Amino acid sequence: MTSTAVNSPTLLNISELRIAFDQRGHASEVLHGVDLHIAAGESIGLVGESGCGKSITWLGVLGLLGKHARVTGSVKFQGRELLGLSDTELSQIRGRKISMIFQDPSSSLNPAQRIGAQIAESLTLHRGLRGAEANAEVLALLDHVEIPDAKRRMNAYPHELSGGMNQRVMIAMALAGQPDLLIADEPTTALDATVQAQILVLLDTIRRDTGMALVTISHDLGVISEISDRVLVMYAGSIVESAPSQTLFSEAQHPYSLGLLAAMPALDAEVQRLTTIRGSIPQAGQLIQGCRFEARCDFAQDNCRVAAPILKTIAVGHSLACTRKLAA
Amino acid sequence: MTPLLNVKNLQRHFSVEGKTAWLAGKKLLRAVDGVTLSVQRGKTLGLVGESGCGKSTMAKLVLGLIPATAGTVEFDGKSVTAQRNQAWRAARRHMQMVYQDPLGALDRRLTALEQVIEPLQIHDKHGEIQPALAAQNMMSAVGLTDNLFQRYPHELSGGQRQRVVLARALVLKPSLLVCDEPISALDVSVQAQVINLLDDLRQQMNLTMLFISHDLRVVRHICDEVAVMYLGRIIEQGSAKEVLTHPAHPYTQALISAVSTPGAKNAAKSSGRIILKGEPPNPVDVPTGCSFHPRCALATAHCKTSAPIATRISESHTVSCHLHTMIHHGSGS
Repeated sequence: MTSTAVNSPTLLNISELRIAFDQRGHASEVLHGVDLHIAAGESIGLVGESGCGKSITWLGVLGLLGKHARVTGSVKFQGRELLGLSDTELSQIRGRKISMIFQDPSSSLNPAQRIGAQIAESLTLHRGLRGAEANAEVLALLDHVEIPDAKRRMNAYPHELSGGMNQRVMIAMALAGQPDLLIADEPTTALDATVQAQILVLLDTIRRDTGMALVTISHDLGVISEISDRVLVMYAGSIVESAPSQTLFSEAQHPYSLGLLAAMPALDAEVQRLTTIRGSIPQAGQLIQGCRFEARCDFAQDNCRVAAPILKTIAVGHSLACTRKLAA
Repeated sequence: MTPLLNVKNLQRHFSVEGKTAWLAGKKLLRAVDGVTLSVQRGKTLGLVGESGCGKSTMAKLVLGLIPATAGTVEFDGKSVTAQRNQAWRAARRHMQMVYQDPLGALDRRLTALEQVIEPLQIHDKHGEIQPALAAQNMMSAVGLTDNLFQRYPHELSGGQRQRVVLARALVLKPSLLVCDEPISALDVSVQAQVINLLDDLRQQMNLTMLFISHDLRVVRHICDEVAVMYLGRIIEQGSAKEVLTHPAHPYTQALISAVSTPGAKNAAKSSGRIILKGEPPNPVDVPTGCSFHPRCALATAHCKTSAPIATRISESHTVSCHLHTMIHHGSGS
């Protein structure tokens, strides 16, 4: 819950994180200074549209972007600076302290290896377990992610399991190193609605049981609001609003957050015209002086074009990057 | 009034060769297993269900892209068969399709304008319509500006590509538009733009639509009627408002409760969300009786042995579930 999270020590502190890619000599920046902290055991959600930087933030944090990426700023995990660490040092953290699960389980798993062996591999790598010891732990993990008949299923290949089961296997692998932070990148997007609900409940239960922190990345505000204590809205490489989930859905302030909320049709409301956000997101690397949302914003004023607004606290736990004062 | 699209007891089975096929013989995958539905002119029918339930096979059958195993499809009073003859080609002009992935649906080597002109070259051999002009008009109608006409698909954004796909489908002024998950590949803010566009075009062109989607919120917004499919069969059907606000089938109830509502934190625990056991079974091994019974919390012994038939529970609402057949038979006798 939020109250415990506030009192918990800081697990991860990202400040002024910038990511740029070298393109034929000039750098194109895709992440424009992200500040974010996560307390131990906290569950945060990251929403935004494709290309807004919600996944790349984490790939940058974990050093997974390759040599053409320039990652600057500071990422302190349990007090230790991650940027600038060597690959060997980072591999002590990846999968063990910070784990990540991806959108499409079928392309993340090795199709030619039994799922039990794939989970055992991470156990050997991160916890040094082998043989019977590893097998017993695989069974325990499969039980933990609620895969029925685990003894038989551990000998299955990914193609023999459904999408929902494969995502459970991915979660089991991510839990193998007993991480303090799990990053779930669109964990339910590739799954059916009824299965999506199962996976969300599972992730929430595991977080409560293990006390790890959870970052859920999604473009679906509904998914985010269900399992996150705090929601961050990202737009074109910056965080534009951050608030406790209840607050965000009732008192969102940023025109982009409001647009996202209004663009979603309701299941129970009478049919009416959907509110849209006009235009489309700016291209990555495009130089924009002022607010990056200005061209699509209905409330834009002259000063929005002058300087990019910075994230400021407007109420307890609620911060906003917008110069406009909203009339209540 | 005769419906524009009339589907009766439609079936499509595929034979699949499993790894034990040489022992057990070929197995049948019943992708569509006895579907009856109709769409009135100018109305939109939503077809919802999870992956593998047969939604997309239905789309292909309706357009005559694949032959049916049994049953009939009638379009505008004429039977649609999958034979590639003159009658089929003539009918195809009036029934068009919009696919989920616009990049996959477009030819990467043609400009946006060329893509939209192509259907006119195929169907309007006598040159009654000026292709370039008609294409440009339709592209403007779907909200594409002139500067995008000469671009290739990779130079367009996702929303713009889907608009090209729409323009290409609509340039022949079809009466039926089949949309297979038309917006699920798009971002939320762009989804809303495309939904509004579909809504406008439907009214302007008096379009009849078969709208396939797994997103119940969108279906509720755009459809007049809705049919819920489970393992090749329609298990509940009726007006969108009635089915989605008063679902009668336990599966529809679970689907609706799985729709997450922003702001409803931990809805799963507080409002009694129905979490279904397991996953949709393999359509090769359809359970006996009611095919939903292994996942249904309300299943009785009767459900395991006999398949429920569609029961009318109100003027515009039918459901195939023993819970309702019993109630209605009970009250009737």
